[in-house]
Amino acid sequence: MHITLNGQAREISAAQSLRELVRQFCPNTTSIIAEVNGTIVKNPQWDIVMIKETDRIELIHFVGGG
Amino acid sequence: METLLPTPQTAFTDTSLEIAGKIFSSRFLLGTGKFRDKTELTESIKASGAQIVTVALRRIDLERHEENILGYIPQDVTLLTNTSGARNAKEAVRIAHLARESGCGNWVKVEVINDSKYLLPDNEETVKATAILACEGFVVLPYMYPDLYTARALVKAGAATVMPLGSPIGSGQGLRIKEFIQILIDEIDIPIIVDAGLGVPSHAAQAMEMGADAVLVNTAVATADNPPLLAQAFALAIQAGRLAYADKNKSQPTPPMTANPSSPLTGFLYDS
Repeated sequence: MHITLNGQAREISAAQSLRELVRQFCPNTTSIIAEVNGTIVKNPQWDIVMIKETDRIELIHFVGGG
Repeated sequence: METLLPTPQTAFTDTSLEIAGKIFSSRFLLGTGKFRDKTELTESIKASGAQIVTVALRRIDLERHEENILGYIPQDVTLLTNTSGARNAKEAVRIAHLARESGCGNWVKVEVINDSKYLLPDNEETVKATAILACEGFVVLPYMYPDLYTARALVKAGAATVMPLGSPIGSGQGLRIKEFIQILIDEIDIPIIVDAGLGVPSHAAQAMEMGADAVLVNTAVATADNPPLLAQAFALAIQAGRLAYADKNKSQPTPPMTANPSSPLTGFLYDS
């Protein structure tokens, strides 16, 4: 299945939840914020949101900044 | 021989800095970008006494593990998420929404920049983003180019503070447009926080002597040879500037930018 993850084209196995995707790509990152097709998905919803073909997913976190 | 700095004693009791109903005893806001070593960031926050620190949001780099910056920030400080990377009001609003989703509060520094050479803020888009976010209940601290009309528009839009730049971000040039910052200090009733371009502690002292309510520093501390040392130096300079400002008779307006003769205006050697 083709998706766009953080601006890059990716191939993932089918039938993954958002939480599974996050675990696969950011196993050690905490305090992640997720957006699917421009809409924020709250953490408790990550199990029930299934990734679909052509989804645009953004995984975001805090960094140092002024 | 190592010795502790003497702690100056003063009978002066300062008023607190109040932003959106929250009281702060420190007038130093510290940015968290560019620190070489994150443990130095933690030490610098402690040395600065800062009670508000800024952070930014970025895409996670999926190719390498990045540490969570929040783990290096003491939990008792107020997090202020910067909308850096936003090129217009719409993008700034999106970043603010993402930040709020993280559960780290609703304080946002609106920073809208569409100029990569000077990193000057887009005042017009900043006002638009401020109006939208203030309406949605965010505490908005907008970064702006010091212009009186913009500052008034930001107040009207619901800004909690106004944050004029001293000089371009990271330039260390100090207060290059201080007279115009002074106009904001004199005319705007919400806190004025001088942000960006302060390169050395004396720049921060100067901003505070002028009557700024607080200053925000990042690069000068983060890129110092010894960041916690510079954090403390800035903290002392901010206090020094504040004390100097408090000594002025505040009922006196800042001297106007007109000449005031030092020689008599009578007895000239010509007939009028």
